[in-house]
Amino acid sequence: MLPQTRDADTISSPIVDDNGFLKVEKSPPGVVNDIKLAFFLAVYDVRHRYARSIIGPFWITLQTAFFVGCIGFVFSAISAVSTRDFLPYFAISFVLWSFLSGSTNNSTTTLLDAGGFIKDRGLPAYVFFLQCFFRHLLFLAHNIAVPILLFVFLGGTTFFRVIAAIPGLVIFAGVTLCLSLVVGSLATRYRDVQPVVESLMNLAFLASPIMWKPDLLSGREFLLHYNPVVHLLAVWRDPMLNGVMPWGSFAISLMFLAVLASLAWYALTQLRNAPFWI
Amino acid sequence: MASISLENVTLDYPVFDLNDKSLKRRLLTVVGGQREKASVIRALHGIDLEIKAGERVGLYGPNGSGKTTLLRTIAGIFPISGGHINSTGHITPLLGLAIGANKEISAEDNIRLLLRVDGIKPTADVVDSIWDFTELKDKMRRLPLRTFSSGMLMRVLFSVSTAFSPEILLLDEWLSVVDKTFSKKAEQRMEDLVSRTKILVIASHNINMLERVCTRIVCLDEGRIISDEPVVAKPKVEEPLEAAVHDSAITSQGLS
Repeated sequence: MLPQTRDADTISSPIVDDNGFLKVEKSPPGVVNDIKLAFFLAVYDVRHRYARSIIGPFWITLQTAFFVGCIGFVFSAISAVSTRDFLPYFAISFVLWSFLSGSTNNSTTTLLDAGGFIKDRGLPAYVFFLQCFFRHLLFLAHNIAVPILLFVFLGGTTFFRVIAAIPGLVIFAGVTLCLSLVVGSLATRYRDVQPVVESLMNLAFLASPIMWKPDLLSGREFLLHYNPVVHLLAVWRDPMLNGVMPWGSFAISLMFLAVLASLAWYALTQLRNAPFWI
Repeated sequence: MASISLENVTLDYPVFDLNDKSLKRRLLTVVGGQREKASVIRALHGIDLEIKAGERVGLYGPNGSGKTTLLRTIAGIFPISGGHINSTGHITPLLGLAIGANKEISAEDNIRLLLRVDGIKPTADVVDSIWDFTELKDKMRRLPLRTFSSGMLMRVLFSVSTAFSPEILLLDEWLSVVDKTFSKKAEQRMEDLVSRTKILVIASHNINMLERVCTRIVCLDEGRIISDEPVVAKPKVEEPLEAAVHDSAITSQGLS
């Protein structure tokens, strides 16, 4: 028989006990700990992707600035609006859309990559959807510099209009999180979902007013009314750029969020089977 | 107080083949009115197992006898299909050493990452002391893991995985490092670790190791317990210790 745990007063070093084991309190397991872990993993992802470069994660910003600049010039010409007017509009829309589509697309493969953590270390599967969401939130935090700079130099919004956009942005982020959970769980269980999600995301990007302005569709407004993405964009973009609160879009977006949230809840209950899927 | 209690636990392991993994197929069968049931393997049959604090239980059996499945079930990773599980105490499953290690990032950052996964704040002191245990050169700390030889890699992973003694430890095979100078030290660390955990459950093919380490051996075959006996104390021999280190397989050499 080997000896059992020793008394605390026989320990000499402050962090290592006489057996060479570290004396550290573990954080109690639970949702708070899971969220912290997910955030930590996300920060690691971002930091290590750009580990060998001097400007680090700001490569993301530079990449977005380049894309927004090029497409902004071309599409303002195509839709015959002034570049000065179009650039901030396109930049903010594109950056937030990338957040939603990036998190959703990424969620389809995130559990497969984390298989070992789930099956061999017993971490709950939802941690990795949170990690994916946080990672894209961090990308967004870098990308947002592009529209902010454009707003500062070209105008287009005011401080109070940005504040008024916050409720809409919260709904948008909520939809992103719930969508990632639902789509990610479905795509892990059924492997043929991933390419479908990817093409739907591309379709939504082109069919929604991100690279073009909604007024281009005059005469065929029904194309906007039945597209949920239009309302999800309107809830923060209308207050931010036009200073109006689109209450109709708020109602539709909140209903959309409620449906997604209940699906996400169902997905969370099904995720206990995730170790069988991966 | 730590304890584990399994009462008539059964586990059905769903086996998803290519058709079961397709949503399109699933929808078509629903529309077509046929209801195909995904094939299920009963991996554990009516398992009764009572483990009290202070016990070190070895799970022994051939490949596919349900050793690892039972460990995952105890850890709460697999949802059971029948019976009851009651456990008190924090369970730490350590079913593979290399889980979560990222070869592209530095050794030091891997240590931090793996500590976080265990719910431990990776302070500088903690990381330093883990690094000291590996006995590797200090300049290697900042090199990416992919530049390490497999022996060095195992040292790092072993050091971080065994730095803390959990309340209930679940192991798939004895952790060891096949390295002349390091294996003695690693073996000592494992002995200490095991002696401090309140409950150890370890699965292995190596009956010699199990008899040396455990107080009780449970034999499994095809998901059933076929025997459950205490280990009769044998006169302690010093020699076979090293042999056992080389016998017991290193859990997972490759990185996931």
